[in-house]
Amino acid sequence: MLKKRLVARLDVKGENLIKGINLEGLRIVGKPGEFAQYYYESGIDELLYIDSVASLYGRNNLHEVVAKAAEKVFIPITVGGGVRSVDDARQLVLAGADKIAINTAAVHRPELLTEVAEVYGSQAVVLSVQAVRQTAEQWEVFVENGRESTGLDVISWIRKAIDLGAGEILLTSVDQEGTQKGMDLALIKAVTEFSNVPVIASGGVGSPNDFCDALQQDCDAVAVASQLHYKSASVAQFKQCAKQAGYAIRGAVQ
Amino acid sequence: MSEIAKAKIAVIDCDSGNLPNVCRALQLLGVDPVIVNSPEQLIEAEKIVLPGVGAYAHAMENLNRSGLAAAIRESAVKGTPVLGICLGMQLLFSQSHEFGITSGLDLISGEVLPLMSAEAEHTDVECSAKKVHIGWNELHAPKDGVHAYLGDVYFAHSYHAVPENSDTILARSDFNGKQFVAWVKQDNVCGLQFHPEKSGAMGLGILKQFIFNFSPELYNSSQLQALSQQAV
Repeated sequence: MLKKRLVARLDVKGENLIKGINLEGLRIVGKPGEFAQYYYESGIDELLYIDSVASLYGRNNLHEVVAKAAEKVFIPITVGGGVRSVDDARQLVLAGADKIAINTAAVHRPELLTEVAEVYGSQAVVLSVQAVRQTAEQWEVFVENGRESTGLDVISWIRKAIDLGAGEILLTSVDQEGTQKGMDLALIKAVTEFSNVPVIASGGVGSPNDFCDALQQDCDAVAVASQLHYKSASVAQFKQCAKQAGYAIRGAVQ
Repeated sequence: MSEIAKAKIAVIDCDSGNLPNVCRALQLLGVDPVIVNSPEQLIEAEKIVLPGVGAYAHAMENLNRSGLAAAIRESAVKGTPVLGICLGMQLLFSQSHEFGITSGLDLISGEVLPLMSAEAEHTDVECSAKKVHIGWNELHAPKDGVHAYLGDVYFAHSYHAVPENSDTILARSDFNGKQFVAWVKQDNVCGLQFHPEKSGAMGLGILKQFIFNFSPELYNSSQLQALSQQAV
């Protein structure tokens, strides 16, 4: 049966792996290549690279970082941040990306999702959603790495994007991101309730239990950053927790 | 003008996404793959790898226009081992039902169909069912009356191939509560629905087997199990 996935999220600025809180305040953690290699050897299921300063340069600059990772790491790699066109997607795919995550450009021009899906298939198109809580049951879509409000409702936007060709949803809670205080479980459930494409939940994991709590909301994968990068918990510990809670997940060490 | 490189291990370019990653995996295994976009390059090919991601019709159009479709068929008939990966596996079949009907290479009889029917897609019938299969899933080999678990590999697709002859099925996986075909083989022509270049050591082991230790006789389940235990 299809397994749940533990995804390592690597926010990259230039040649550094960085980490922020609520998508701001960047702290350098180390070199992305070393972390990627270590996670691969520990049995991580996927890698997610986000160019955290793409909007400053108007484009994604992770080609070299991704190419280096793709030489040594034979698991799926998703890349996002500043992807504005099919050609941007193509350059990242040539560098080694298997899936392309798009947020801002898709909000401004939703047809971009269809265009990329037509070339690479919808399974390669990940809609990246940065959600900011408005009420107990409503969230607003933010763009530009969590800085700019759009007035769009998260649920309606995701429904539309799936119809346009998004094959997977990367759902980040901006409120919880980097806090390590737990995920926005209501947000995850609100999306998994209707989504007929896989959902990767992101933002706020503070322990392996948070991973299991998220899986209980029926998401397909959880992206973890702080806990892994700061070595508060290991890939093995996360997977052990999921196994004990009864979820099917790939073994930790290959 | 330099001579066109004649490929020993040919990797077909049909403008697809996973070509660079497949080449990287082959290079890790010690192979020097040659990316092929014209039929002449296949003349001396010892093995052919057909990767593919994206639209069926677009890929077939490229293969037909370049003459590669005919060249691949010719090589396959001669006995050259062919390995189709993901969309590449689907291209080996007779036709696909993605956006109307498109003819494939017809090296293995059968059809390519969506994982979720159009009606199911537009009714919230079962909220846990998905229209795209993404993630690590189990391979099971149904040979000799035994369902051997081979290991986990990575899938990313919305369509699946249904062979006419069930003897061509080496392994299955399951999705949305139904089984589907994950690994086919008919003599020298093989197909993998999953991505061996993205399936860690298990996937690299399967690629290694195709490159270095391929035999046109059908595998039996104990050979497949031994294969799954190979580490790179």
